Amino acid sequence: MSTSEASGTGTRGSRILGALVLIGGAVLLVVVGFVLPADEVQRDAARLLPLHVATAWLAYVAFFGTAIASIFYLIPRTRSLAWDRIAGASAEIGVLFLSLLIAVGMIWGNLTWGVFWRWDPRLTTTALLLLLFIGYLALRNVDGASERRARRSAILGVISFLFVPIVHKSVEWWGSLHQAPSVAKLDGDIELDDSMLFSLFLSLVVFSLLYVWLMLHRVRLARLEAMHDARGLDSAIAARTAEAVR
Amino acid sequence: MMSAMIVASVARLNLGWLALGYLGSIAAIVLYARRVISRGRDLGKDIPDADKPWR
Amino acid sequence: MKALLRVARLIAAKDLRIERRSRVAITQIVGFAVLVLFLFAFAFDPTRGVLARATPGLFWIAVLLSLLLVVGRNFAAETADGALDGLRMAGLEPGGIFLGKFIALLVELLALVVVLLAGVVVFYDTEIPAAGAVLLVTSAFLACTGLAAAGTVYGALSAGVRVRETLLPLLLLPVVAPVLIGATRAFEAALGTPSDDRRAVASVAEGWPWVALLGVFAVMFVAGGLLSFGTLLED
Repeated sequence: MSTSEASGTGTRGSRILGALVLIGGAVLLVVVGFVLPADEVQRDAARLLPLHVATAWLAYVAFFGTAIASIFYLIPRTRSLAWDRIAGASAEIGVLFLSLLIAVGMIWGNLTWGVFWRWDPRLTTTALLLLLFIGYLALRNVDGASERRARRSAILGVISFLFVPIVHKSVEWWGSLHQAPSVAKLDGDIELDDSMLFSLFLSLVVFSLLYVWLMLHRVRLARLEAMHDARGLDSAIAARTAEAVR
Repeated sequence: MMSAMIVASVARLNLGWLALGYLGSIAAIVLYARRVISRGRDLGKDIPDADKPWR
Repeated sequence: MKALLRVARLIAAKDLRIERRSRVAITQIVGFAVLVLFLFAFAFDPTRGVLARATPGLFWIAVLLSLLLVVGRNFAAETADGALDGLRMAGLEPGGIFLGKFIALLVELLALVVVLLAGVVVFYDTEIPAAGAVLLVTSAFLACTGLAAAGTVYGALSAGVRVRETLLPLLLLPVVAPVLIGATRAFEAALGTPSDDRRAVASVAEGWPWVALLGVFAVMFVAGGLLSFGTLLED
């Protein structure tokens, strides 16, 4: 992060925030790697817990943010493309962290259960949620009038979020036919001593700040993109790239 | 002796997965942030009043 | 309210008339659905009982795949010449437009389900026990209601988009997963399909909670469609 640039998506505030995230992240890594004792049952795999919980937290916060921003867009009195950009940015970050959640979950599953995937209700719901929001991003990526796209995305964002409970319920019932829900109690097996509680708390704080930091940049980028589209500056950029190449 | 070796290798495997989880996540986040920031810079260069307040 | 229903009837009659005249639904979509049944039979050996055990699930997957085609057609007619704008310009209530398209889709789906049921009985040698008939009909009707409502909403969401052929399945299929789960379980109970290797047959009573799930899904999407169609059609 360079310091002089005023034209990018960074601001003084975002740089301070970014530094806090970096420091917090470094402390978290040290705590998780060296301070945290290995769990009796899960051994070193337990060190994944802070990362796992924090990515889940961030993903759900991000999708909640998408739903809220979508609602604000749909209310005529607060309708503004700014809400649309916030909704889109939040969903993109949510998809990133939900993918990480599933990837880390699979690694953990491989360590503790010996398989990457189980048809556990929580896993299945999470995977479906990821697919729903990949679809949401796909709808956002189509071209066309931005108002029209914003309106459709907002409705889809609200529906997708409202849909989480019914997907979860149905998957839970479906899963209960096949197996006892013992897998769901995975986290309960880990002894939550003070250092684990501290690292959990720290990871939630760091990831919350990370969310805000990413949002600042992503929303600002969306705004720049909108300005850019409005000005039709494609040719100017092409000229600049040509300059750089030469 | 043998079992101690197996335990050690399992533990190493364990740590490898652990490192993959953490480092992979960090790499993904950094790559994403870099893409956003560099694209913002590119666009910002061409929009003179880009550093105006939000909205 | 009366005006709403009148609009709904007009739109539904229009859509169904188009389908009846064009015959695409009959020749191509029904043909496709039956073809899917055949493909499943090729993939799962019918002589070893695997097919019989999987029949309810395969049935509903065939319905879902056909749903994608039906929804695509349902909205292709509207976006082709900006006909949707025409409907809006005519001052028709968006809720009525939703209901109309939803009813037309529901009728088409129900017809498809009847054909597929006949296909399953003929080709998969499925017997429909008298005790499960009520459960079968109720769950099929509610599942189709939910699918038709969701299909109408998502059809409108992806209408007029250039990548609609790929976008619609991506958006619609995860959302209708609960219908697939619920309808499959209800059918297993109604048909007395052995649910696992122990050959334990699902009892009819076990099917009714799934019917409740299908009902909740249908109500949610009909309400959602009524509420959101005005915004969706503002284009």
